[in-house]
Amino acid sequence: MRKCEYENWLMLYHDGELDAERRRRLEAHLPACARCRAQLERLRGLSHLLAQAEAPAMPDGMMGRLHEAVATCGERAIITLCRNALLAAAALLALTGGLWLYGRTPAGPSSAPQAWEVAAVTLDTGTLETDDTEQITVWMVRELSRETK
Amino acid sequence: MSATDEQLLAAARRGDDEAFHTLVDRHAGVLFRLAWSLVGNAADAEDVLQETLVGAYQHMRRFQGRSTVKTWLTRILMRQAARLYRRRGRRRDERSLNEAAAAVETPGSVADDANRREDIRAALQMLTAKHREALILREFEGLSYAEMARVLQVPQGTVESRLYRARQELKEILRGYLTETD
Repeated sequence: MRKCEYENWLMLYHDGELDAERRRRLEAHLPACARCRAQLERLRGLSHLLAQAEAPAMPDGMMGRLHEAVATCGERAIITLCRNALLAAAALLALTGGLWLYGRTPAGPSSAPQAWEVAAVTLDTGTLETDDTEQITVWMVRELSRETK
Repeated sequence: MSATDEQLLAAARRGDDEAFHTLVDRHAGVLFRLAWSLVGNAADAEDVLQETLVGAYQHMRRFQGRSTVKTWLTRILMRQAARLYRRRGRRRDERSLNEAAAAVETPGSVADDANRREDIRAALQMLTAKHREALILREFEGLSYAEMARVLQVPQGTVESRLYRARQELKEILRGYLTETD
């Protein structure tokens, strides 16, 4: 038997998914088509059969176990949150302490410019006996040598 | 008037654990039935349901309100069922449909309800996971095609295709029962 052109609509019709216009056309077609009626009956038969396969009742105590699982999960979440907060506080404390200690170390090199630095930018070309660069180098060496004594 | 699911979830996100427990009370029955239909036995169904509810609790901040709470929970449950399949190495029964149909007891008595239920349950487990999911969401949960597409996160055309194939296969496996009822 040739496939009927309306067969593709049967499943949608059975599931209530067919739009109004196509539903009207299919319902007008069904009385004249034994093939479509048989297909529709098989769909209905299958749904009816499946409706008999009801799930069993929930096992005893299952609701209690579900609630307990959620509650335990909640407690674990709080513990994790506290632990993370403590770790963050410890990290902040370490950072603050480190910064405080750094601030209390003896003063580092003076920020005042060294003699050679001043000389380097205020050259009196008349006093230079040698090339500029060489003279600045000499002053740098003298200054650094003085500091290390 | 009792709070809506969305109100309960919002309260749970603000720290009201009782609100989440109310959601559990409200949906556990339906979700258990779905889980049982998907995995075929009560013990596995309880495992899947527990994982679903714990996962929902832990990740409730990810719920963005684009679907209903029920759809969101259903989606989580479908993923947990899929994980169970992978963990326990469940494979689809590779028998041909004819062999599967022969394996389903020919009903000797219409009144043999326990055997009928067991045969239907076994037949469902013979489908691929995707076909079984589509069939169960439609036949047992009564979801529309659009709702199924949202839960399964596939196009509606895919839903129709899977449902069609699932029914074709199941009709073949359970033909002994269907001939009797036709």
